[in-house]
Amino acid sequence: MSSNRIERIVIVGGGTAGWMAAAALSRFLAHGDTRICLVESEEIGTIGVGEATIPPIRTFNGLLGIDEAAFLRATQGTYKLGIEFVDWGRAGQRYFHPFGRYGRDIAGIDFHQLYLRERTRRAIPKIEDFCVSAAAARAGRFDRPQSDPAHPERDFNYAYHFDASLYAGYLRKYAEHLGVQRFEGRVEHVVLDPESGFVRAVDLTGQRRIEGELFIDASGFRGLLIEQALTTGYEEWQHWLPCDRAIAVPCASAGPPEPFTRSTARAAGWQWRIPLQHRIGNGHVYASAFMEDEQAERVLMENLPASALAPPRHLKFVTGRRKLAWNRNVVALGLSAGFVEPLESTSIHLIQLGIAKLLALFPDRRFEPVERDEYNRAMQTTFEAVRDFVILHYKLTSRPGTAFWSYCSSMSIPDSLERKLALFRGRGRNLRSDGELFGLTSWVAVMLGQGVWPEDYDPAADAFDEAKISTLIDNVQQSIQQTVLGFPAHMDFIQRSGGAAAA
Amino acid sequence: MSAERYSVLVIGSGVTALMAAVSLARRLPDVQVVRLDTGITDPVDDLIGACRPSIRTFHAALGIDEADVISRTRASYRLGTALSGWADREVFRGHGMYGEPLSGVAFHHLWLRAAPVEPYESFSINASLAARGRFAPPSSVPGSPMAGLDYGLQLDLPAYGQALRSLGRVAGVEEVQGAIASVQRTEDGCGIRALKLTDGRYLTADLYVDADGRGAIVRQSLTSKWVDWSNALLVDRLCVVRKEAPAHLVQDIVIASESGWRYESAAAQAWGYSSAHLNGQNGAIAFRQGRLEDPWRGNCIAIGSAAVSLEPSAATGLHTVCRHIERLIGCWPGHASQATEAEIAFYNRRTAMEADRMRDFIQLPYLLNERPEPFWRAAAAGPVSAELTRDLALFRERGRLATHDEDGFERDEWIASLIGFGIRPRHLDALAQELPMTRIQQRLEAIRL
Repeated sequence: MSSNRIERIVIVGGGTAGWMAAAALSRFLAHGDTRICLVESEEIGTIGVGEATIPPIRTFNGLLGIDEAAFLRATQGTYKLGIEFVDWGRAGQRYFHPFGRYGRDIAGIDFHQLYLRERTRRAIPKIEDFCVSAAAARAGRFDRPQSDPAHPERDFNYAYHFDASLYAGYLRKYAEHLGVQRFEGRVEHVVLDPESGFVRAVDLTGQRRIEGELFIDASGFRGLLIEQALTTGYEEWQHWLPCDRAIAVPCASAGPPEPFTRSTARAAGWQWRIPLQHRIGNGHVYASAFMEDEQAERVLMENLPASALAPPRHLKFVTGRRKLAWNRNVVALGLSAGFVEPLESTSIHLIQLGIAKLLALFPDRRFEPVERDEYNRAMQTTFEAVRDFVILHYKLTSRPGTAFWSYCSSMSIPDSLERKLALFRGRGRNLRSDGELFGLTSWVAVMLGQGVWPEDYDPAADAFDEAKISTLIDNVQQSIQQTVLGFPAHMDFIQRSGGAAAA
Repeated sequence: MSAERYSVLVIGSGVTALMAAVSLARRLPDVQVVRLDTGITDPVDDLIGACRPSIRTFHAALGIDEADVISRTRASYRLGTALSGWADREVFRGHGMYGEPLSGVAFHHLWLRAAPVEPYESFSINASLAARGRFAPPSSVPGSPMAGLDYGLQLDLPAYGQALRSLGRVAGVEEVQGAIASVQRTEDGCGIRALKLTDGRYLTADLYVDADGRGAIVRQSLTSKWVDWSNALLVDRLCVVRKEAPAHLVQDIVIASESGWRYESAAAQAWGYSSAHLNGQNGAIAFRQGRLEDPWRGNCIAIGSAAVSLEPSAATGLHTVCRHIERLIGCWPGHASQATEAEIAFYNRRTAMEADRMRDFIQLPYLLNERPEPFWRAAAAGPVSAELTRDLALFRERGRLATHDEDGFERDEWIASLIGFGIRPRHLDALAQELPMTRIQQRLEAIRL
């Protein structure tokens, strides 16, 4: 066996990213002699912005063998069927970005094309009425998807809301059980190899030195290893995504938790609402160039659905990505790798994807550049695809009045997004590229939801008989309504399936 | 709906034009399809009928029954391509799956870890059947060894063309016989106004689909840039003959010779060589490998070998035709309006990515060949694209593959080529190393054919 196998992995930082990495690495490198340790300091709080997730989180938990009910109990978790966007395209407008699909396709023609065609003939409901996850979300109900070939519209997707710091704690137990060693302390000094420039060790307060071959930088925005030690560089995207501040505050529950996230546009940003079992997570993301911190806090506190449970916490960030997510022997995960605001709940997913790619391209002590390059290429593609999708929400606005929204609606956008928009505006087309996270449903939801009606529909949709399509569209809607009536209320489902946390 | 029907003129006599005309007429309503039969056929396009599995999707979209094609047109099943004499052993590039993953670790990593074991091909149902000259349809029962099988077809193109022609008539394709005298462009030079035929008639349409093979002139009458691949793919002469009676072959065989190769399939036989390394042979046609930079321009689009020209050693010809037609329908302008710049740019970008990937796939065995002759040494030293260079480096390191947009080949085919030519990664995959050897051996034992 190769003697170059990596034997010591050091994870710096114990937030969501650090413990997700520790859990996954300890699970998949379980058989060998690899020793994994994690350094964290209790003095440094975790940011834990990513309380809402997207469906691939289920794959991650599944690979770790985590039981869903136990996980929900431990993290005060709830189900999430999508995101409701309020006032984004224009004031008073709401739409739902569902995890799932619209209706059913016929002979390779996407449902939304049939929908666009039908809409030229008669008044029909919003497209979300043809999606079971959107309909269930509106009714406050939840059940697991069914794959029934006769009713493809019952097959949907879902994710979770949870308390990120409880999740980190849960994964900590998991990882420590598999032998991950935790060290308490601040990193005082990073020891670099004078020749190669690789990180050799980190020195903690109290003179303890921890040596390793592979380092995971999960230290947050400051990038203790990737930036402070290796000066990798950061590419900023603020001209496209001008928000650079967030204020987070939990409040009491206002009724049973809803199975979806809500995002409401505000004068210089937007506000999130994430319902957990025991409370609601709220936050205001805004652009400091367009709004003072005090005013932003006032906007948030005046728009809470119930009384606050803690003082608001202020956070600063710079949207962008680390130029190399993997530099020398350091792999950055989480905020140290880059940040796109949580509008589409992608933070945890980007961590998870970084871990999966790292495992698929896992190096040895020689650290051949070819694997590192492939990792960086793949992560760059994904970050940019997420960025484009988030920019879309800001670009497609006709909100009047504020300087912030006028800036957004008139700003130039990346060419990659420009192309996507033009293609959709023409005939409602969309094609997913490799590495692109969001699929057809997501793009259709935001485009139509924010008022981009294609000039025409796909002419291939004309191949079907009018009456037949009309009946099919009505049937899909009815079938969805009936399906949702059979779903239990969201909280009832959590209780029945054993996911309710102790009060 | 608009009063005027959108009109399409498909130019060409060969299988490419017939496939395009029938697809457009069948799948797009309110489109008037006229096909100009120019009387020109291309020996490569119209005699070499090797199809990848994409032909079955093509048939399904048109509602063509596969059993019908087989019984009426002397077609047969095709499991892959064998490269013989390229290296010290035969290399089989099969469709379908090789082995099965274990705990999320791809099969070839398991195979590499367990080495030395039986050859890689012994874990492919396609390879095993091809070696025995047999065929059976895939099974839908999970776990059955036949579940991993996938196949294309071997068409006898003259007979297939006849069938498509009658299908086209039923679907409303109007046929015009005639030769093109000149192509009249619009005033700005960016589009086609009309085609003038030698008998003085004029043909006009909303969209011109140039499917007239390598010598196509309609699309070329608009400004066009040809991306030349002759430095990477040296074969530039081809000689093709149709077999009198189809041979019983479930695979194509490409047998290396001194300055090129001989190609054998059920329905055809061909010789390909490089004119720089061998003097002219009787009956050989000159052809150049490469692609148009932008096959779609204004109201004119080139499809098939008029847009992407490649040698037949990886059965990319009809595959390209199917993909071009599918993509064109996916970007269809329709409703009497013209395609937007965004749609045209999208079509051209994706078509270019796909063609470049095919070039890399075809070039791979040339780069890895083990023959001493000057032609083969020159082929091995040819220029390599940045993508393929990166892919090779990544695989050589630890057997990993990058992902690509518009890759018309399965990952397993790439792996079979790389492993078949004896590339052994320097190191094992880290996760494969973590799996207990006994589990890997059990898995290999269970699925070995």
